[in-house]
Amino acid sequence: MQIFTPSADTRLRLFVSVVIVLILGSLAFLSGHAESSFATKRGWVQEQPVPFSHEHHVAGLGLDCRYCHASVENSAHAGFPPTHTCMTCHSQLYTDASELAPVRQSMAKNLPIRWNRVSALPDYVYFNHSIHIDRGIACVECHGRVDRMPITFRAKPFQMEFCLGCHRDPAPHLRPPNMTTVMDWGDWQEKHPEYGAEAMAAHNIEPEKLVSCTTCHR
Amino acid sequence: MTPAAPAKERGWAKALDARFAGITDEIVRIPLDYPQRRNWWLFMLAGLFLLALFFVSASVLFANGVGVWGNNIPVNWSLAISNYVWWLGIGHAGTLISALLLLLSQDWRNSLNRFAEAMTLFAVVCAGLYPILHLGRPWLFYWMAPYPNTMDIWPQFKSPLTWDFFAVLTYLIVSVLFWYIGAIPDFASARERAKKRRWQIFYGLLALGWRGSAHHWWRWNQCYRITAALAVPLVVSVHSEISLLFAAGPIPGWNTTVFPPYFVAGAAFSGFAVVSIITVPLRRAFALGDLITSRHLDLLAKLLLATGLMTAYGYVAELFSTYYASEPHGLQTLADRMGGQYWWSYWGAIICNFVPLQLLWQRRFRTSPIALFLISLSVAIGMWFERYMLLVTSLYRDWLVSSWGDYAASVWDWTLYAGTIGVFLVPFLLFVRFLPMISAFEVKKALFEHEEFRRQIRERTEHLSQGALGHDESPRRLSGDRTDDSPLPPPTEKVYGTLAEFDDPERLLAAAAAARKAGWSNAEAYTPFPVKGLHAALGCNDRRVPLIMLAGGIVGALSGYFMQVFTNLDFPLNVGGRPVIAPPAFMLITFELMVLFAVVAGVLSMLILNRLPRLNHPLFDVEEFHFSAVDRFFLLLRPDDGSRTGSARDFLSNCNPVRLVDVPVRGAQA
Repeated sequence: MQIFTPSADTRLRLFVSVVIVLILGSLAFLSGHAESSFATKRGWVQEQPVPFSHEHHVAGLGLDCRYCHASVENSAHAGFPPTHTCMTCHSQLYTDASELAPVRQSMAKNLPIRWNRVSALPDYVYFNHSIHIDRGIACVECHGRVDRMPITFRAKPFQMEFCLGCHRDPAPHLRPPNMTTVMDWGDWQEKHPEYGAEAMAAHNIEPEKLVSCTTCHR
Repeated sequence: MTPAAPAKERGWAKALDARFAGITDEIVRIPLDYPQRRNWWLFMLAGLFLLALFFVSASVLFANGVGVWGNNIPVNWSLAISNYVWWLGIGHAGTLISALLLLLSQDWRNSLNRFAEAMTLFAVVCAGLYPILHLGRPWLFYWMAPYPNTMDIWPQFKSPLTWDFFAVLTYLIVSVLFWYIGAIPDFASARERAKKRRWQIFYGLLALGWRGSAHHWWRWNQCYRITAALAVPLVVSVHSEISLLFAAGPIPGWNTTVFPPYFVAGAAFSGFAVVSIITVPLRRAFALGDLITSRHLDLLAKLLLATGLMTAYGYVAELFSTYYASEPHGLQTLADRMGGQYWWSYWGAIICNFVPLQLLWQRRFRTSPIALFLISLSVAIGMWFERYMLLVTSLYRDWLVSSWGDYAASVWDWTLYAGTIGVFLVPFLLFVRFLPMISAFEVKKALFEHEEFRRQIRERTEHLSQGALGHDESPRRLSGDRTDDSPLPPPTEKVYGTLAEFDDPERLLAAAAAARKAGWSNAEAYTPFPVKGLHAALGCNDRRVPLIMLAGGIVGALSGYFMQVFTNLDFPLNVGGRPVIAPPAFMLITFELMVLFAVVAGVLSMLILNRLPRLNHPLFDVEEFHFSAVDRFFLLLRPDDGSRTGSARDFLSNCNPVRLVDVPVRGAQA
């Protein structure tokens, strides 16, 4: 009893090939997606209540990071500036600018501005800004060139492999702790090739401990 | 038809033929013309209700987290894991029965292996669901698999929990493949028996175009037997590994070396019990008493008794080692088991497992379906108590008094457990309804070989009594009369080949050997079951399947081992001070992947070398060919060119066939 037509075999093979291609294709898609800026939000500008420009304030005016993110040296969190910090200048400058209306409202109502997070870590990651500043990890290592960001965006993919890249080999990323807010390091690495190793020794930095699970997942 | 052989001889072959057809009919008619529709629907409704309960319980679990269960901190592995072990234990019997008895050439397995394997599959699915549901975030279960990820980490390969992922996955895949390739020939006979178009397509796709040729059977046999040989140690390794989930932990009551064999014996014990629970009603519902005889029940009962006694040995060994060690926490755990809050689980296990079991020493209980059913039910319950006891009584009182606590399963624990019974029942009922549940071709093969053996004995004694010692032992003569009641159709212009039908494998064997001798190098034979010696008669000596399986096994073992070496070097983790490269800890996954790769390579190579799937084939155009899946034996001679057709017909008609048919080339018949 001939149940299937001669073309049935071709169609079956075609079907199997399509299934295989779909499986391989979806695997390729998933692995591409995991690394993509779509998944990591790297380079995607975050909407904010006030179009704050780091480029203007850092590169243009020369404000130090710590002027606004004041707790970065001695707290887990870098801290967001209270509206009073904005008002140190903006009580005098651009007092009528419509873009700054939310700042004036916040001041008047005594309610903080609700900024939207740009650099977020999952809750199961224990991250402390102060130790990184204290050992000389420059802001630019994780946050990128904020002095070139008219509107702030995430500069690095905040995935575990990004953290581990540094924790496994910290030496090239170490800088003098008192210079961490410097944005442009130019050819510093070429000029001070031995600094990383010396800093590792001076601070007793052991990569084996830095990659232990409990360093970040407590 | 004028028979060439003595009339008695022909009568014997005819009777056997009728029985072959009867077996196929009896098994294959069940899905095609289902006899027990009402009862089936009653069971199915119950199964669907339980399945719905499973989905409700799982949804509640996902919505609220594992907090809806009774788990708490001392007893953080509770009903979910004890049910996991219970289901997985049940899921070990099918493959064990089927593979081990196949290797031991115990033909009685053929009546049981198909549905025992199906039971295995669905039980393993139920088991596999539990750890995933227990994860808390089950949608991330793929984190157990080693794959390149943005976290730059790998699974912790020194943990039995990671071994578990590989073991259960390998076991599931190997069991599915073993069951499936074992069923392909029966799918083919169901395809040939089906009358309705949708059934033909359903079985036709499942059978992949199986034609039962000597080459098909030869490669199938190699693949099937080696898979069986790998499946037996796989069963042992998987349940040993499950026991290490417990025995590798420093918990009193878990940390003993008797656990691996104790778990394997217990798994086989509970599995044989559930096989018996399923066998008895199936046998009754479908009147399969002539295929599943009281001998089968007797043997099942003996296996149940034997594995039960092995499990009892595990209990005794545990008692002995606890008292021999006299370690206070161990003694305390034992006292808690026997007389503590959960005493009922310990004594429930002892009583349900071992007390009714003793009836099986008597033959009348072994062969009584109802007694076997009830005793097996008691064992299934007893083994459930045992797993509960092992989990809860060991955990609720830990080393530290400060971390003692009580455990009670919540409503959602119980509904989920009831739901998994639905997860088991619904696909099993679908299997019973739609697929041939007994291996028809293997029953036929066993019957043939058995009858053949008896015939040879009979002939020999007859010859001896007649003093015909020097007589030619083979009564068959190849130069027989032509079958004049089946007039030969006129030769067509183009033929695929010429097909001769025989009603008896002996004749086919002789004809095949003669054809090969006469220079027909591309002769092919088609039989409803593998006929011993047919591949040799046709000069088929293809050893590629075993070689490919060997290569697959080597590649699997190497990749399994070096995957673990590489991942441990890539991200060295300090696991309790163990060395980074710890070969003993890497062995289980190495073994599992060896089996997995070998079996997958074997099945793929078996199919590809057999040129399957092949849904459309010139042979299927021949009306009579469908008997090749039931009770007839065919020899096909293919002409090298069209001019030799005549000689093929002449040659075959000299072999005394029942019928001669020209196979038209595709499209040439129009």
